[in-house]
Amino acid sequence: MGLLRTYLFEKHNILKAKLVPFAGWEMPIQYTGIIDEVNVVRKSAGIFDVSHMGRIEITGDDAGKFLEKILTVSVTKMDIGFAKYCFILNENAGIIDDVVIYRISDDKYLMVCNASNKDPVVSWLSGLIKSFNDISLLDLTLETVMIALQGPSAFKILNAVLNDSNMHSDFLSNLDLFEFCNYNFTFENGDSGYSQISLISRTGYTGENGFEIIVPNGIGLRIWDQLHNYGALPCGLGSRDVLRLEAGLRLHGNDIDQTSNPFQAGLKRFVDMENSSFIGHEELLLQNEKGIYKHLVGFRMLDKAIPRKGYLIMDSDKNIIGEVTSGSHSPTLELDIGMGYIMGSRPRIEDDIILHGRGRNFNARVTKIPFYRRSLN
Amino acid sequence: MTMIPTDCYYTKEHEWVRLDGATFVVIGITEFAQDQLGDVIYVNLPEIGSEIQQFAQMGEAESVKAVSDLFSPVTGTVVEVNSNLQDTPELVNQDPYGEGWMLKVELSGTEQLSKLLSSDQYSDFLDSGEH
Repeated sequence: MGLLRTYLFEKHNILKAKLVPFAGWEMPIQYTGIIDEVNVVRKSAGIFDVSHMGRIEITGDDAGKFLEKILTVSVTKMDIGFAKYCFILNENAGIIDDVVIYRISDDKYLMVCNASNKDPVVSWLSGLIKSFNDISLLDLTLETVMIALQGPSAFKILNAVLNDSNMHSDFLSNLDLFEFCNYNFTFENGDSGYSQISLISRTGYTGENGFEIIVPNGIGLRIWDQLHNYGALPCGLGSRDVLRLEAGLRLHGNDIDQTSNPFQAGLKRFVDMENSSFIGHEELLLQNEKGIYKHLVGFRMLDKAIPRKGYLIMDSDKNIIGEVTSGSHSPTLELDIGMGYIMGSRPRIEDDIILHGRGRNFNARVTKIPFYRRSLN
Repeated sequence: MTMIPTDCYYTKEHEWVRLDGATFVVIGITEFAQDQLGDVIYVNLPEIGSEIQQFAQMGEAESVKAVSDLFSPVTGTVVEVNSNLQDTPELVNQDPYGEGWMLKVELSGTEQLSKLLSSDQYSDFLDSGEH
């Protein structure tokens, strides 16, 4: 089967992106270089084509009730115009995917899931929807473009793009974290497009301030070009992975998967235990009682080596206690950092550990997550 | 188009070798190799005085994306290591055939150079897509 291409694919070619297969898509991993692009996002602003991510609209009178069975949050308690990060769990509380759920209206929601998990997520939803009346699932992935604009200059750039075409932008400065605005982009030259969904949200996956923009395919390219013209530089999935790790954000398939649950991953705050109807709730209660037997921890390297997924983690007596799930060089911190699971009791911050990979041992130290936090001024 | 200087020999593992006098060579990795690696963060090389074997592993180059083995293109004794790569490994990306050189080696014999590729052969090898 051939690889899928986003609506912006030709643009990536023109920009001389290095393209790689990713979750069934042919995606830009970098344009100028991963380190350059990380620095751009930390110091000014970058744009990422994240159109490969799954976008599924869920509509119907029972949509809220249905989603409260699927998701670890109480979606019916969410205000319209807000989004939340949460999980889809299986019966054992293993993480099928981590998603962002948007409440569009009383009976309409949008779920953004990982590209690599879209098929399992859709079949999970389709299997459970049968016991509910009149809920429709609509996959909008191929008819919309999703662009992440991230970095300290994101606000200034988006504001300028909207003003340039005489579009309203007052709401932008008041948009809270995880708040979004249904937004009808209408460029003066007539560029427009139609899809069920068109919105700007204050969300992202980099640890920087920024926005994610979901629009009909017809105007995706125009928005990308405008953001680029106003100074946001194209960034690929390579830098996105480094940025999210610096910010301590977990990656499904690495740091979380169906063999781990949100408590083990240190993500309890994204689980509303008062919503007792979600699948996996009972198992989480049980696990909480028994005690958590593995913990995701962050660490920084003391030796000059980049931790890699699959490297073993040992205590200072060289007993194997876990495994690395993510690792990278951090250009922002000028350190090598990683995350991994450690079995048994939770290790203390600043505990020394040893990593083992490629036949060698490397010294490392347990470190607080996130590694990087943006300054708030 | 990737740069392939005509005054070097090459390996299928993307190392280059340049004669420096009759019995010494300088070695490094090619433009193609650095482009594949992306931003180089660490270069682990053998110490001065070590013996290295042609086509055997001699070190590692670690980039943000991956860690890759480096293979020695020649047999001989390491006489110099590019110590600038400790603090500025990005030289490998910026100037792979110049400032980004890795080792200077005293050859154990010059006949071994015939086992290496010429610039034309290396260029054909890259074009063949077998790498």
